[in-house]
Amino acid sequence: MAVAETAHDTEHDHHEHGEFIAHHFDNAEQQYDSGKLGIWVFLVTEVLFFSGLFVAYTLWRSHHPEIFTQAHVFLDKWLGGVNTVVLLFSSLTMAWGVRAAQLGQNRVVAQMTLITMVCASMFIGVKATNGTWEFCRPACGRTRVRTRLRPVLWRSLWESRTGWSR
Amino acid sequence: MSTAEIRSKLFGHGDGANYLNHSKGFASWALTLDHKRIGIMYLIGVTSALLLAGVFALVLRTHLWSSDSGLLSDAMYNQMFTLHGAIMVFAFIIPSIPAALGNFVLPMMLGAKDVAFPRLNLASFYLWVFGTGFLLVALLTSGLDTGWTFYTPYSIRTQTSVVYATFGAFILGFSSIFTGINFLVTVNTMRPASMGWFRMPLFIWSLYATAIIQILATPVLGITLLLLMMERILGIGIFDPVLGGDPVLFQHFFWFYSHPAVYVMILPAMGIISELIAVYSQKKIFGYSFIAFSSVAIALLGFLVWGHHLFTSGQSHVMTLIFSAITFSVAIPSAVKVFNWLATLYKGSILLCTPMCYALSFIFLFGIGGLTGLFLGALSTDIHLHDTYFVVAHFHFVMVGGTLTALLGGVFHWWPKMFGRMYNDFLGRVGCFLVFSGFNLTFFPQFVMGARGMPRRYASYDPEFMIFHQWSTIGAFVLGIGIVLSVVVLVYAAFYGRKVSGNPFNGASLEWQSASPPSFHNFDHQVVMHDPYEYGDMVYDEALDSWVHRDFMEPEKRPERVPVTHH
Repeated sequence: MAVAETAHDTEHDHHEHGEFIAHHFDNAEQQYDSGKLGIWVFLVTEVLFFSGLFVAYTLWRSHHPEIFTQAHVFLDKWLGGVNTVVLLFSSLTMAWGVRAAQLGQNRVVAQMTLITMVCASMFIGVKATNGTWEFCRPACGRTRVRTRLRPVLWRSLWESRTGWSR
Repeated sequence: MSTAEIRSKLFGHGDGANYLNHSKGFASWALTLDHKRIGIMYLIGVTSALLLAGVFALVLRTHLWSSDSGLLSDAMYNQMFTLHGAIMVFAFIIPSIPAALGNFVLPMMLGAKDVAFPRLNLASFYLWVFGTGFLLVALLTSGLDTGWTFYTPYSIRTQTSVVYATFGAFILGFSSIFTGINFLVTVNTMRPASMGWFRMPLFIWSLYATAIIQILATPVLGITLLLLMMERILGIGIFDPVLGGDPVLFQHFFWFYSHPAVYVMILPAMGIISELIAVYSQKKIFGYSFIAFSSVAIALLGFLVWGHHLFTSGQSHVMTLIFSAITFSVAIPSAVKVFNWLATLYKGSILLCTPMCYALSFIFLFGIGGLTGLFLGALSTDIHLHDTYFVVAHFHFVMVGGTLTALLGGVFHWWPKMFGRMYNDFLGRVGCFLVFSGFNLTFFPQFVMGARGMPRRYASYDPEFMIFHQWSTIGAFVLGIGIVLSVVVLVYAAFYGRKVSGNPFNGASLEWQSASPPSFHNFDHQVVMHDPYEYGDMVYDEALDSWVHRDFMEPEKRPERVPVTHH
């Protein structure tokens, strides 16, 4: 981990910085390390954010296992399958884009970012169709929440978990 | 550059260009990336939140003056204590020390020009503004009457603005997370090479421990509040038993954040006290590494005790037992700190300046607040004391007697650094005395009432409690006057106070190696890293009216090093 450099006069070093180094960093290494640590810590917070949903899911699955077996009939395995493929493929293109950026292949970066964005829209599109369709179905629609609450509970947890974890 | 020039650059009065006059106009503040200006804006923000929620507290106390006072309707009373709690906790106390004082002091203590991510820093300030805005929207629409804890199922069913308030708290949570990420990375990567982990000032250690909690706990609050909003808006059954949900799950989620959040409030306060006790005793801090590690220990243990809020919520006996035992263990690192502060005071050259008065108040009040926590952590006594005024008094002793006292002490300590001007120390001490005595008068009777069975959150009470409530109300007004006096003394000083040099209090940590107020880049000359608690190496320079490290003096003016004998 880089720390600040030792010997320098702060009067002069405002002018010695390269174009890409922010004024408060001493060198590129310190800036890079800060950014890297920062984004990893941020990802840790994201994991914890979703951990609440995972805990709720686990709890409900152990409390009401029958809901989970009942409710699978309401799901469309085609839409789910397509979305899984889209999701994994967009992860590939994103990682590929990062690699291309490291190699300085700007054109590839642009292409990969574009593909990732298209995949993201597809994912959300399928989710919207799937979700709305399930929400509007009388079997577990909002209007009958109180009478058919268990499927709703299951669906909501499933929806929120898969829908948000991307 | 001659030594004298360097000295005046480092320790002089920032008469010329400083961060306050570096640029002018509203936009230069609203869009600034300078950690010092962001810290000042935070300070103004949290002080406004404190005063607003403080007014609510005074209204509550006025209502409680007599057992049948008709000042507030019962519904209005519920709203009043809820908003007092929610604004105090989310908008004032959590951001107060880390985001306001920490923002100003942390990079300077590290000898850095700014925090690692200045834009994220500004973003977290605006998140604070929006989050607080949503709390105010809740206040101005149909209010909020759930208590600051938003317990389900009531929070699902009440007609008040739960969604606005929870959304506000959700946004404030992200503000806190971003501050935490920023500080953690700053401490890791922006230290000078010569500053190892164990040469950092203890305030940095406590902010680091705080950042860990903010990062690991706050996201859980975020998802909890989001689930609550989904339940309210979409009718999805998660916490409400009528919809098939589990209300105790909410309590687990909520306290998994909110108990560690208690340490977000107290840890930075302890850090400030470590600085104040050392500086105003002019003595090397006793047990440095123990204080440093106790901060980390408190942060980690703080994650394992949330269940002590659920002793009466139907937890299993085994769980209550385990949570009770771990709760007791938090007392160890807390006591380590108190013993070390007392040992630092022993044979020190104690100066009873305003910040030191606050630091001594802190030790006293935190001692009571901490020890009464043991009553509540013990299962048998908690059954009796649960949801009584004893609990209210306990957490006010920790949060107000601890955090607010430390915040005021810290603000008085670093105010001359922030604005380059000295406050009236006598009036500062009068303010401290009013805060201390008013505080005790407010909350000490509440221990007695609570032990005798006065339940919390009730708009009326049996006449036998009246005398305690009246003492408490008088105390609340004295406390309020003390806080307002302190604010007035400080604000007056910022404009009209006597100008001071870079290091008027003989602090040895790096933030004192800058002009007062500091320049835009914090340090006009390279700082010299040395032990942040070694006051024997400081020399008084008459020309500058400032304490200067001996390395900056001409060789002939450096005094002989005197071997330290008394510790």
